[in-house]
Amino acid sequence: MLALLVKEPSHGYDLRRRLSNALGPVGETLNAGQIYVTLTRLERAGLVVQEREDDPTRGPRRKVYALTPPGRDRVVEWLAESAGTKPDVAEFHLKLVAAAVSGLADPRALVAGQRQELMRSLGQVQRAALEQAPESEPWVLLEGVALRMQADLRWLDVCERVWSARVGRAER
Amino acid sequence: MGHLLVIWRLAVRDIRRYPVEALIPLIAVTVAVATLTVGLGLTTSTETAYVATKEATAGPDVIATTVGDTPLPEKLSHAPGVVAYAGPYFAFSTTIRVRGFEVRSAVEGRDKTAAAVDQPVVTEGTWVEDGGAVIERGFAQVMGVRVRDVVTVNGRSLTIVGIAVSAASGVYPGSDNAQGRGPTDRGGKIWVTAADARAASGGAVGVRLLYLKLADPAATKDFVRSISTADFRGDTWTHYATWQQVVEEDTRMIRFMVPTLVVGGWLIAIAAAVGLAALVTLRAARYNRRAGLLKAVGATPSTVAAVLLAQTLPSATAAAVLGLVVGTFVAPQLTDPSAGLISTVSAPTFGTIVAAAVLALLIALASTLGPVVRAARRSTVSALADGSAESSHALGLSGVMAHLPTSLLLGMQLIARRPGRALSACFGTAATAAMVTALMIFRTQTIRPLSFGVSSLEDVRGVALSHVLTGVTLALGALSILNTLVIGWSAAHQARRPLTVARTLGATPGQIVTALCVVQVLAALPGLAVGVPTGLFLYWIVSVEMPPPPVTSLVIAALALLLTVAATAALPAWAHTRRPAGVFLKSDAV
Amino acid sequence: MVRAVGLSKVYGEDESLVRAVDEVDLEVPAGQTLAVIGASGCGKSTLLQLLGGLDRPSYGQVWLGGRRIDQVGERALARLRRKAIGFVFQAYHLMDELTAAENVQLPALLAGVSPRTARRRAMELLDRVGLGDRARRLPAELSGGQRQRVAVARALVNEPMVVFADEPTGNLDSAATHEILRLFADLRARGQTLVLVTHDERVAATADRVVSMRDGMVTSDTGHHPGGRPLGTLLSWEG
Repeated sequence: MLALLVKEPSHGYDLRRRLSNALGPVGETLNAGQIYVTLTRLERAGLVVQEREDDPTRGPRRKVYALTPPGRDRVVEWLAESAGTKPDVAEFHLKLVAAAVSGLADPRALVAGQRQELMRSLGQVQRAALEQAPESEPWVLLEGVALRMQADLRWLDVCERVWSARVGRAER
Repeated sequence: MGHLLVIWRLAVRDIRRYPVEALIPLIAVTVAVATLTVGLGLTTSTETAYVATKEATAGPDVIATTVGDTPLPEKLSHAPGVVAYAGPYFAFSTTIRVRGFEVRSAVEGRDKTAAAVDQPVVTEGTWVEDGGAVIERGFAQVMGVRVRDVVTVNGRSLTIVGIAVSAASGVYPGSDNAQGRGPTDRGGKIWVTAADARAASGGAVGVRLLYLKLADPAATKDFVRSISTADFRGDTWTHYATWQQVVEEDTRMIRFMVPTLVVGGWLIAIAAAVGLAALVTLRAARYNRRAGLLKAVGATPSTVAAVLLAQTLPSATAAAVLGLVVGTFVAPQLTDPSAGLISTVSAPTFGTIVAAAVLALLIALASTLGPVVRAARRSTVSALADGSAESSHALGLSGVMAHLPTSLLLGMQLIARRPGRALSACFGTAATAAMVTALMIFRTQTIRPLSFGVSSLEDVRGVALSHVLTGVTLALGALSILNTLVIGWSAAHQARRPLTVARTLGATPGQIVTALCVVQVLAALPGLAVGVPTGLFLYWIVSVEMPPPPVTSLVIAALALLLTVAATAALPAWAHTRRPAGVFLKSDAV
Repeated sequence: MVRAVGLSKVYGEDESLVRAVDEVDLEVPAGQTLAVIGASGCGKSTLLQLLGGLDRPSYGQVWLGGRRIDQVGERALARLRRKAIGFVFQAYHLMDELTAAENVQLPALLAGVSPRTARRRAMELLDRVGLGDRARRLPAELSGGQRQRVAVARALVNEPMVVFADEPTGNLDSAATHEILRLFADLRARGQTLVLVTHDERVAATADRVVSMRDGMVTSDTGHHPGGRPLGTLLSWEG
């Protein structure tokens, strides 16, 4: 959420709309309350600051939040963080969205990094599996892990394709 | 070394794995080579048969014929160069009656004991005795005369006690050598005892036959020249016949069959090449795959070509040898249409062997070289990727389909996809049509019976030619049926994908079968159009007289040919549709 | 050992132009196991065929063991394939008419090795791939995995500089895949240079290095990263 503020200061309603756009049906459970609670918590931690209050032509007045320098550092740190071998799909997805929106990182690089990491781990798992007799208990377990990793890698392929196309379009 | 082992292994495995495919070229090439061998070896084998007969009968080198009582025979028998003689024997030409025939024949009076020169070999019964005659074998066969039949010579009845062959006179119907002066008519020959001959002659002048054996059998011409001087023979009439002239006479009897056999051999060769080409197309997929595979493991294009050729060449070689053997053994059956000689198998001449080898090689190469070179030169990747070069897109089944019968449309499209196969089918039909046409014309030309005095007997030569023509035509027909089967099979095989797609789109098996038949029949039509005139032309070349072509029977024959093609094509097509559609779709997936 | 410089393969012309392989630069050092991964149609198989001399590039260079091979003649290429290169294909491409042992002997015989030596080497290799007892079987009598093991043995019979494998496990079930990968691990341990093309990440992951391809281009190239985290952290659900 922080990352979404990098591009420009926004108010809570706007943030929620953007999150829903990025998450689609997955983000349906997100409600306005949660957004404001989180924003307040972040403000208390000194990562965001309430910049001004918009004076809309109609409707309630909205608080516009902006990122503080420590908040910005935190975002950069988050983006650089490895998602590990079993990434939370939604989280990694948001990371890519945020990276693209904020321009703080290249989503393609994120994907490539993640792929490399996963591939290396998969290699480890596979080599371990090759040590086992096929159809043995450990082999079945390792097979399961490998298949999950493979699924993640396939998803990364999709991400790579989509984000390459987007970034490519943006650059053009 | 290693290459040879690989080539050998694959060739042997192939024969074991696809025996039918090895058998087809074997049969086709064998038939072609055999026909050619017979054609080329015919004269040779007549000579061989004559030489064998001459040896067996102590045949004369020169036959001297004199008329009336003259001292000449006595003089001749002691002429320089003569090492042995027999006779002079009294002989006359007359009309004999046997088995209801009244025919001209020489009646030769012989000793009961064996003669030093020209002792005819009795093949059945015994040699002459008083009241017992021996008849020349070819003559006897034509009339169906057997031992113990009765022959009447000038009212005197004699029992046939034996059947014999001799080298002293030409084979029947040219064996009447007792006609004396003037042009010689056709006739047979019987031997009786000297006493019987005298008694039966009824005062006929007759001739005296003197059989001479020379120190140098090859020098007959010089000998005849030396005894033909006026000093030597005075003014008595004599006629000399050398053994070479007799052979010449005999060979003339069968030489007319040679063109038929040679032309037939080449026609069969065309048919064989067509069949082989169809087979090779059928194997193209495997060829290509194998070529790619061999290349991938490091075989050079020449090795690949060698491996692929090795699949055809062994059976072609075997077939060449087999054809030579068969031809060599069949030739004597034709050599002597009248059975007047002792038939022996004569080894084929070098020329015949070369011709047979060239023919076999030509057939094999003509049909395989193209695909082999293509497979060998094809890029490894594409060869490996798909076995056959066929494009797998479905036939367009829309648009025109509404206006044409489905089967016809499918058939046309199949032809369009594989014009080469249609062309080879066309060639095959043309060859058969040509031969059938020739046979039909020949059949309309009645074999004119030869006049033999009062009765006439069938012309053995015509009969023999008829046999030969029928034989060649049957061989061609059999090959053509084989070809149609192979071509049909390969058509069904190669078109299995589009046809299966057509089936999944709702074409009935019946339509598929009809489509495949249509392909063959459509290809056969131009073949007929070319083949029939070719047959007329070939007949015109080979034969002296050209009767008007029998239009009705030719049309009937053409229709019969088409029907056969359709029926034969239906078989593999039917076999194809027996299998469920899914099998073919699946079998193509890698 | 294997090097590609600006390697390209182009099909068709003008509008229908397809760049199956597009300006690929790649270097495979001796002893490395390289996996090329990508979806079907990404050009990875074409790349392999170019590297292995099965196909000729439209432009660019291919070097093998310090020798440029993209311009040599068909005969020289054939010699090269039998001496320096071993191939393993997805569809095995064994000769159906020959027994397992004879299939393995084939490249050796073509390379001029004596039949006796070829026989001995074939037996050794079949033993190594665990098929010593199946030497006299025809391919049709072997399972897919066994056939592929025969194909691997065949690829090795001339002790090639490099083995190229095109989707070697593409037709195999997981157990057979396991066997083949074990075999490759064994090759790797023996220092055999191996380039394999696959669309299966699990197969690719066993290599020292993974190159991804898309639309004829290399999109990522992971260097050699041995080791890693303890396996436990990979396995625990909460890691």
